[in-house]
Amino acid sequence: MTLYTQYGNLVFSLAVRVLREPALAEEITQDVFLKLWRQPDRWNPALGQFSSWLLTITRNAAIDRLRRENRQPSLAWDAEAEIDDYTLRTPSAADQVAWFDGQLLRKLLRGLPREQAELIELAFLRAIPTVNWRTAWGCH
Amino acid sequence: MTGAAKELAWSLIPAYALGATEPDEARLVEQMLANDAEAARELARYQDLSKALLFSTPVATPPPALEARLRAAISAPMAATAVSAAALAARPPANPSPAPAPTHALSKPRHWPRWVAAAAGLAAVLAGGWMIRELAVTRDQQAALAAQVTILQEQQESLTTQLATRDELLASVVAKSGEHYVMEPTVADSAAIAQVAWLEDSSLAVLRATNFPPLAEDYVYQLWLIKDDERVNGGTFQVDSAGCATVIFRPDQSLEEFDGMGITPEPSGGSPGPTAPAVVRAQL
Repeated sequence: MTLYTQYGNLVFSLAVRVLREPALAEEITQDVFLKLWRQPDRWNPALGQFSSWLLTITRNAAIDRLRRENRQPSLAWDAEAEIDDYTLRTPSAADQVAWFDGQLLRKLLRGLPREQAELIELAFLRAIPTVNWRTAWGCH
Repeated sequence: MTGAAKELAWSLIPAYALGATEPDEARLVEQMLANDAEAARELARYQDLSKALLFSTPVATPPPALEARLRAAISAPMAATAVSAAALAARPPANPSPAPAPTHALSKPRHWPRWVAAAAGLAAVLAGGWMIRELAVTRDQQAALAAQVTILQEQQESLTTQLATRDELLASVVAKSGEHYVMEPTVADSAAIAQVAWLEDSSLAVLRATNFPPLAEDYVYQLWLIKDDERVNGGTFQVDSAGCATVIFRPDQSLEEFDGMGITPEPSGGSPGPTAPAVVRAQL
């Protein structure tokens, strides 16, 4: 449960961002930590930073759920959302740097034209291949 | 790989780093990466950006009940949880009449207009390149600051060690050469003791305190020099976890002109006059 204490917020936040539904995000968060509990060997240092790996499998699990639920990704880009004054609960310095980079990136994304920011959001958080972007944009 | 294919593969690097390429597009990028170190470096830069994107999420706090459910699931037998997971998977979709997935687009990866790829690539390149530069600058600044902090910490440790060594040496010299006074505890069961060595020629005194009781964080010990019932401040000091301290001080006058000395606990910063009973005291 130490891992949940340290990373639960990050995992849940990413799941909410992909799924846009807290109830589903809770299920994903629970699944991710349960799998980690049952198969702690799934991560090894060769896979890179633990937190990045954990968030990657969270993103993949959330995208799988999106597809299974046959949902259309929404384009609710939170351009106006304030940058959080949040203190990470993980003691890792690498996590702190990654978090700082991520929040800086979020700030920079807010400076982009909306459609460009949404494009990146779609591509990364929803795994929409380039070919689908015109559909998401309503192009024909 | 032809020039046009390479150009296309290069333009797909940002999307590839984001995991947003079709399988045939990914193969094209991978072909280029196999023989092009510059492309590999470009990809690494965009992968840094992808990693940062994972951490760019607004923070949402999970409900406390989630932790409780997780604890319960961890404690539950595997089979029961597996059944629960299966039931979860069989759950009907949250949206009973979802819009059909655009499978036709997926099945025709090569039939999309070039301008879409160009726009997408341009957006990612512009955004990505700019952000990567910003991130790199910030990271460089962080690294430079961290290096400075490390150097300053090392310097501070070195200076602290030098000062401690100097104090010990000085104390040793003074203790061997000067006059000695012993300040005895004022309470019968106290082991506190202080020795003062006085070097008249250089007006230098060294106080060695041992077995002093620990004090609250906002308290210090204060040395008093006594003359005609008047208390003159001799300076404040703190003891270590063993109750020991070595303090060098330079009184305004010769110690021989004072009638006595005492040490009292006082609030941090010291007091104009003693506010508590002395821990140790000496008649000179």
